[in-house]
Amino acid sequence: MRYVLFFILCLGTNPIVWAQERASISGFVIDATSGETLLLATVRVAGTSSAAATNTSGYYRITGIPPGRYTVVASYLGYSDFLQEVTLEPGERLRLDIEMQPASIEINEVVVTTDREGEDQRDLGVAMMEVESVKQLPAILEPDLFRALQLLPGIKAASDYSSGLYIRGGSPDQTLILLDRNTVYNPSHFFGFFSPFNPDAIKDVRLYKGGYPASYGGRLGSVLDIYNKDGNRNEVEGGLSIGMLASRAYVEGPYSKGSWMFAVRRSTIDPLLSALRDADVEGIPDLFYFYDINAKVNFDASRDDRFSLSVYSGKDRLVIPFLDDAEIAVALGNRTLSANWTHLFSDRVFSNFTVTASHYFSLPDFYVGGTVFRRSNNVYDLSAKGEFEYIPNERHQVKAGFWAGNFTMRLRDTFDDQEGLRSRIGSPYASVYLEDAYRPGSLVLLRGGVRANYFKQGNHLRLEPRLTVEYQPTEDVRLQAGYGRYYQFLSLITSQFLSAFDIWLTTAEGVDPSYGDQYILGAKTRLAGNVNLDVETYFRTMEQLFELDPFLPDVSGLDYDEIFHAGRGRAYGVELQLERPRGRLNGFIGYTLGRTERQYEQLNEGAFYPPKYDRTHDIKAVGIFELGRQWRVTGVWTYATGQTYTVPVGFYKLNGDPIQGRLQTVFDIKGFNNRRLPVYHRLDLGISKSGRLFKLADYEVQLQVINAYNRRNIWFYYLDVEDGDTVERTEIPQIPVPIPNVSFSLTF
Amino acid sequence: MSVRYLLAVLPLLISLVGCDGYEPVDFEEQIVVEGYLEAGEELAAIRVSRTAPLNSSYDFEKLAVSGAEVKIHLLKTDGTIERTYRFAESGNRSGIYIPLTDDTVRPMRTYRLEVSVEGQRAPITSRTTVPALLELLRVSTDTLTYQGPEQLEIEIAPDASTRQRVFAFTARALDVRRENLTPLAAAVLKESDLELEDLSTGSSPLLNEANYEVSENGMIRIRLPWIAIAFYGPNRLSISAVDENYYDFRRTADIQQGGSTLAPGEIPNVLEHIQGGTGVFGSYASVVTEIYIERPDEEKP
Repeated sequence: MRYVLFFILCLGTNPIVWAQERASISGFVIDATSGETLLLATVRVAGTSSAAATNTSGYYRITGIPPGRYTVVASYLGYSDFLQEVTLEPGERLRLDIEMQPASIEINEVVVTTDREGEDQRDLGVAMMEVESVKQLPAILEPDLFRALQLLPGIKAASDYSSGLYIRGGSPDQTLILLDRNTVYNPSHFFGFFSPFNPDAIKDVRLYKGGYPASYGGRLGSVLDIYNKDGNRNEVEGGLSIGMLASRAYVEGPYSKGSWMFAVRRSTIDPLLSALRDADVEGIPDLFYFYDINAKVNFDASRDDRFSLSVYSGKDRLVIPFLDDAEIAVALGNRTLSANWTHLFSDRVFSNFTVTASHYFSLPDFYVGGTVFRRSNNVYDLSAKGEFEYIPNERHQVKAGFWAGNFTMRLRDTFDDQEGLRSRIGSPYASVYLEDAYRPGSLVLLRGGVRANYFKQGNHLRLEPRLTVEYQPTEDVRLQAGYGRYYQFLSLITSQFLSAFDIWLTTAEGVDPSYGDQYILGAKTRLAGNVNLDVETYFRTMEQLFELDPFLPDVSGLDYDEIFHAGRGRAYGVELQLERPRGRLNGFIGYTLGRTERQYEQLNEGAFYPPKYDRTHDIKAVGIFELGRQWRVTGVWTYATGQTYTVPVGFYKLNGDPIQGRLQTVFDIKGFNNRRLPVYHRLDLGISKSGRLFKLADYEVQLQVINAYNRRNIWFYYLDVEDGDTVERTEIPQIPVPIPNVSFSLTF
Repeated sequence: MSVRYLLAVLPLLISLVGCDGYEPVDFEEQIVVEGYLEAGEELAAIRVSRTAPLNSSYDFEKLAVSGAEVKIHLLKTDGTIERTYRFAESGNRSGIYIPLTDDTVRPMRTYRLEVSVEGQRAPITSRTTVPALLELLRVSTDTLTYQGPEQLEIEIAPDASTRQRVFAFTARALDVRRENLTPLAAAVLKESDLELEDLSTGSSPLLNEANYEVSENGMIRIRLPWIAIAFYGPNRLSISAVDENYYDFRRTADIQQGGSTLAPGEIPNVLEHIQGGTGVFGSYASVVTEIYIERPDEEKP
């Protein structure tokens, strides 16, 4: 009898037998009107705890479902819920591709509540940005993804003139920026004013502010993962937008085996500049333009095989005289290419393979009185990536992958037509990672992984462990904790003043990679009234920050490791975000309390100091109000502690320099960045009217005002010794006046 | 979770953590020394003054330090003193100390400056090692057309040391008149508050020796950049190799308000090798030649 009972127990608990009875559902989630895959859509089986989110290819898999009759519910922000009844047989693997309809805003507000909606969008350190919001929010001359991201808690800007992302105390180069899985090395246009990402071409934006998983690597701080649209698989559509600085156009559509998309943006102020030159207005460029081209084609070979080819090309070109017989000429930009193959080996094994090519170039020339200073910086990155997802059951989701490539940086300086510096660094690199998301029970999720990175230049091999833990005591509360070690083998040499001369440099023999640890705690809650409250606290270390020595007037003839100085950093803070993602009135309020500090031997006598972008308090309020079907009002208010700057303790003059032959004023400094500017605050407002134009196309007219109440925020002080030998302080403002912005868009 | 509880905690958090934490910056007076030794030339004057508060007017006469004891020691290789040169304050200019003995600055030798000021606990000191003499071997021409096809080339002998030299060019106009300004210099004069005399001496940025090619006979061939020329007509050109003190001081002082990767408003301290004070005590070696700069044909009357 005992043996019979033992046998029955084995059958009952035999995992192989048990698993054979359970069913699974998998497939792609797409937009019903356009056919675009939807990333991080939530799919769940009503009445169970079984659920999953789509991955970066829009694929999901739910396992461990007992046989029976269920309702499958799919949810995604901005879309009506998808519901479908299914009957699952024992061991069935149901392929269910889901098409979701975009939702429209009702005048009489209807709040749709869905359990676990958008949960994966609120993972530890994650922030999502809806592309439509980017186009709706008030913008300085052009709607811009990075400026929209700067509104999120934990993300700061260097100034009104910069779109650079300073995330949780890190500099912009500490964020890995990917476009269709390809690294973008110079994400700025118009000398840092805004990013090169055309909002008409973007489908999805996911930002890991910190604590990013083992599937990413190569940067100390954050990851910004951007995906272009695939193109409408059902019908041809397009749009045109005319703005004060630039105009955009896009078109997308299907073909027999897939879809395509083409988007272009170009500056259109050439006529204005020409008129100003003809009127002899000073300081007008002789030549200025920028452009972006995004193109993508998708080939759906089968249900389980999809191919895509994505290209991007962008450039800035400027030629501006600044005195008689002196001018600056700059050309810089990016070109990227991604070829991607998504393949389902089975419903349990999903894979993605990508080949990428990226080229960044920066070619500034200074011509001054017959003498030419010329710099040429080119970065080439060729790589291949593979990603695998294995979902054996409802408890585990295993990811593994590799990323291997070759990075080449070329830098050449000439002065007066004589080459002073020629440097070429070529380095193969490789990474492999393994990660498992383990759900021991319905309330707990453990995600652990390790990433190994190798960078041949300098022969650096580094391991990066990652761990996040999530506990969900109730349906509306998620408690999260995470740790990760991160390495960075590249450093961006940039100027906060003007980003046209950015250079990427790498580690090498004698130049160790930067590294840091991140510790994060988070609590995500869902309150009444469709409101989310997220709180995160973080602490980061930054070691071996290698940067170009700012005090070197000339690097010619120096060994590579001699051109750097190394330092350290740390950052810590708390972020709060109260968000109402949907409804006639939607938006968020974000508050960050944080500190970031740096330490370099040559600055501040080797003591820690706050860099200029350190701001203790940072508040942003963003609101979008739908007045009706045709009218919308938007507003953004930002407030921040003033940035730091240096106040000298005194000054003196050198009177007898025989080489310079002139007086030189020297400031006596005790303490670096020892003062703060007045607080910064600004209000931007916008109103838009939309409608139908001659029954042919939808139109939208936007009127916006940046700095609506005319706040004169200070960018920095400039000190000069005037007549009478007194030091005069001149305020250099940020955007000093209200700036209007008008745009007109058509979509068909 | 109670939002009200969280909002109540916020002011406390801000009060605890949100304070700026930076004390006001008080003026701290420092003694400024300024001196330059040129290899192969006589010892030059040393200036001693004080720093001025930021909200005051700078007047060297008022800030000059009188009654200081100024000495320069010539050191042996073991660091002991070989010879001491004493200075005395100029009779008609406070704060300027003239050497009491005539002696030539010796290249490749180390000198230590020592300035004792009443009220200072310890003397202000600094050391400099004078660069080797530059040997001018060839000058390509004595007349040039501004921005013409030919540029002035100067060949100097190479240096035996392993560390590359750092050069600076200086052009002193010998006929300073407004009508002699080059277009660039004229534009600078127009756009700035500078006086004509301020432009009479122009200098290049500090440039590493590696910028220049080595000629067939192993000499360093330096080409004069046009940026150094502000006036047509006769110009006295000098090429100077600077010591570490001057190099460090100049490269950090030049970027105090921009010109590097530091953010606007970030002013770094200068890297000066003065103990007990501030300023610069540096040395250099130079060669001089004269050249006549002609106007381009299109500018000739």
